[in-house]
Amino acid sequence: MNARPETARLETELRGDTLVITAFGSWSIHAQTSEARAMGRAADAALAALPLPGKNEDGPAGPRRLELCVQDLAQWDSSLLALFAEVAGRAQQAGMTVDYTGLPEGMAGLLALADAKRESGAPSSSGKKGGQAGEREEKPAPGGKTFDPDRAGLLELVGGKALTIPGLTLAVLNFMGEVTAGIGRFCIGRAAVNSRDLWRVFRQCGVDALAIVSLTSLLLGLILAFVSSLQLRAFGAEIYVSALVSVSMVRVMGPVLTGIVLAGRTGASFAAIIGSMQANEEVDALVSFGLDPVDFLVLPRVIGLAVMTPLLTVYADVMGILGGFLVGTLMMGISPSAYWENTLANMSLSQIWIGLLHALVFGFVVSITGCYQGLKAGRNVEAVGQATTAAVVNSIVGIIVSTSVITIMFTAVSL
Amino acid sequence: MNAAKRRTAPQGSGSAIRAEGLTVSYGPKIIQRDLNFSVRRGDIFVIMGGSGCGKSSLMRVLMGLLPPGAGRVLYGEEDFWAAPSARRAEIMRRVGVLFQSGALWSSRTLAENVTLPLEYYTSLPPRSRRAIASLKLAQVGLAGFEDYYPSEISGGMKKRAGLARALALDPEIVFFDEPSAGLDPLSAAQLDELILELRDNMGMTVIMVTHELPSIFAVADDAIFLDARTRTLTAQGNPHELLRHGPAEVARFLRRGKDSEDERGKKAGDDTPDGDRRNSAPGADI
Repeated sequence: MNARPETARLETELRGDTLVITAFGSWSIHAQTSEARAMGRAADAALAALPLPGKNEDGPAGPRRLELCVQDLAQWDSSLLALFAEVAGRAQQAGMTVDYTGLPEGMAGLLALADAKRESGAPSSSGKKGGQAGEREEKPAPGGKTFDPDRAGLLELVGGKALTIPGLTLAVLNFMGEVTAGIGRFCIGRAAVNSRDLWRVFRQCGVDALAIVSLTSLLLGLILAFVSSLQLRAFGAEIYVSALVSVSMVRVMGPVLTGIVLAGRTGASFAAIIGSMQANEEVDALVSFGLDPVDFLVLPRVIGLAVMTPLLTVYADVMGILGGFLVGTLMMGISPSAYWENTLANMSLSQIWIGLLHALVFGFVVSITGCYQGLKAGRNVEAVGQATTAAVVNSIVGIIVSTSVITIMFTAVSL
Repeated sequence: MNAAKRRTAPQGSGSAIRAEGLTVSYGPKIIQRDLNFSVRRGDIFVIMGGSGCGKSSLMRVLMGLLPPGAGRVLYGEEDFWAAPSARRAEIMRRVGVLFQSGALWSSRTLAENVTLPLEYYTSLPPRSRRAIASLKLAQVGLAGFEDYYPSEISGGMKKRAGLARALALDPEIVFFDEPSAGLDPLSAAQLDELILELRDNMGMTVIMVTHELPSIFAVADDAIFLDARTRTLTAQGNPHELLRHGPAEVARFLRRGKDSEDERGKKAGDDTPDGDRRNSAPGADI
């Protein structure tokens, strides 16, 4: 002990029915790596020397008292205190009495304080575990384990996720039902939709999105024309670039592109706005006035986006066709009139209707997802972030899935 | 403000709200069980108790934001939670709420915050709505702030604006969730004065959650004490009475605040309300 008094060290000794744990050396939370390791090893050894909780009830074996002492202690702080508190807590669980008389006055006082607080402040039955650290993990699990996503294995993780699906599905269906009922009330003029909010949504997700929609759809038209021209040139059928670009833009690409832009731009903002309102009790304030959050927050956004998405899509279609036109006429040498004629010859009204149907569905998907995620967000900052992410991801997945469904439907009826 | 007036017996008769065998719970987790009490019309009724005992949750049940685990909430003689949702919305229109954070609608100006409920529940023309908003804001000392957004004013002013909004529909019952939380002692005292003044002049019933003892002694006519350990109601009565004759635990809770209230009473007497006006003049907080 005199050789290296500065190293943290614990000694455990059994005297009759008393287990004595003595601390030596320097205990500091600012210790260097090697000293900190020594402290860790000492702590493990001390805990290993204790009987398991409940063991004393079964047999006569094991010590009945725990005595904590210090000797040649150069310095101490919370590092030693925490260890002693853990050891003492474990010993008390095992039914041992703990004796602090061998400790310096301040240390004994602090430990006694922690004990008292632990007894009075511990959540009684169903609250979160705050008190005795390590109690849950170290206890030999008596059959039923609680589910903790951070520590679960793959099988548990998949199972845990799967078990949430029925409840989630029900919640989403409920919400969609509420929104549908709300739209019904809106149509007969009985929903409390604020017209100013509605116009604001029209502007924010319509007019304000024009620039980004122009840029992306123009470029998409260019790309489609370029890529298809490489293939069509092999057959000498470059003129069909016009048909390919216009039909694919109008029928699928235009609506999908618009939908994805709106998911990132508008869906995310819906979730963030409503989520923050939820966190800030603003939604509760609405309810407290007897105002329905669905009428007030969700309907203007759903109706606004359902109207604006098809309109934006028409605009995106035009920009995409323009992109193809630029490539066709300027780079591939197709005459403008031939390009235009070929576009018209292959276009039919049904293509446009199908495209607009896509857009309408995407408008609902994006707005309902965004509002749902916002309303069910928890009451903290992190929850708002999660809601925003979920809104964008789920919207995009929803867009792709509904595109597939619509495409299959119309292919089946040969349109 | 005459001090005698606030200690008078309740002006009205009968109960504004009554709880019968009420259990407050989040799913299987029971917060408070088997609560029985009634709130007399015209009283300032305080729900007190240590932190985490479920005061705010109980209030959320009373004001219709959280369904109870069991039991009934009676508004007059009507069972609130058994009523159809349209009827519940109607009852809630007669109720005003000041949330802990103020909970102003942040995308609307203060005047719009106050006029929004009016827009839905009255057929008043915009001019009159705006006039009512100005009046309510003036009553809480925020005249001239009609066109400010919630983000442009201080915490104490947000609370007062929230109060103005809660009063928009001339409610019969007003709920306050920790009105003085986060306010300096002087602003808290002024808010208490304001609550008393409004009650005395409008005759509404006030239900308040707070653990600010000076507030409790300054305003409460009646109070209940919720215990976190036994998870139920341990005492009901006037706080001054409870201090003298209540259960030991409640008296101990209240005694901690008695001294500080006396001190604050002295201080608040020195300050004229003008001090506040000056501090909250338009632009002062921007």
